[in-house]
Amino acid sequence: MASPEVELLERLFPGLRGHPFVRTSPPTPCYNCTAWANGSAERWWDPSKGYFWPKGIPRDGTIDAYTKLFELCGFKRCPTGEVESAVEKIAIYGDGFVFKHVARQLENGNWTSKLGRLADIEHRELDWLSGEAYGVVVLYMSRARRHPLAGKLPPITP
Amino acid sequence: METESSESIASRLFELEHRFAALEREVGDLKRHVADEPALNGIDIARTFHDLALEWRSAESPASSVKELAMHPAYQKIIGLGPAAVPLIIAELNREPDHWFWALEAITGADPVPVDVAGDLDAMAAAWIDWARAHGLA
Repeated sequence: MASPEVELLERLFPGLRGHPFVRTSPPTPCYNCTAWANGSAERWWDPSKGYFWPKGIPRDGTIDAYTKLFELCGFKRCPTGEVESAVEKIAIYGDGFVFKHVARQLENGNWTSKLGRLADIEHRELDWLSGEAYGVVVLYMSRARRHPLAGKLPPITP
Repeated sequence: METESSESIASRLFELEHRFAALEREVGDLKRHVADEPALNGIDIARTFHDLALEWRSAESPASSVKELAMHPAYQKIIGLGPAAVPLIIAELNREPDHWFWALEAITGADPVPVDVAGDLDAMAAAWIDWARAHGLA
């Protein structure tokens, strides 16, 4: 029988039903997927006032703005989410022009996602999270694994 | 001097009784309004806030955007409680830091979080608690 947390996640993301996703952290409001995509679990990165957001990056919540943010972290656009040796990839989910979520690829090819204020999960397929909450994957970005900016804050002023 | 007819007296008496009944209803309404007033401005704001805060937390949104979290109807109703909600939000932040900063900024217009701790929930909460103390709200 599924735990209440698993039931909740499967209700929020119907694509997870029947798939072997793994919860890898307890729920916390302290960091979000954006920080986690860069390997950081210390701050909530958000364009709203009072939150971490580098100067010069638009605060309009668009996919374009988040793409610029991840460029500051050393990522560049790439064509696919296929696993590549020594390369770390992220997949950005959106709904129209609006950023909704970002997942980071692990060395085993699975993806790690911090689900808002909820838990982190490891999931094999990106489309398990597609749907009403996060839209669909709209672009991929990559950088070298163990990049010097991984887990760090990008410069406040680019 | 003419004497008033019994029909006329009965008619005036009926009218006076009718007006008296209307006045009694009005007094009753005013008494109820006065009795409700402390609930609107005191105890019930705290209860309303806690009910709404629970509703917001229970929504279990997976949104990564604070703006999206703040658009939840219960969160918006908390903002609608106005300045009276500020000490309650500060007490909630003291108990358990969470994303109450949007509501605080919307109600007060203040922005006390230093840039170097932006996004650090505990430090953001501490900055708002200090601000509230300095303004006699905590």
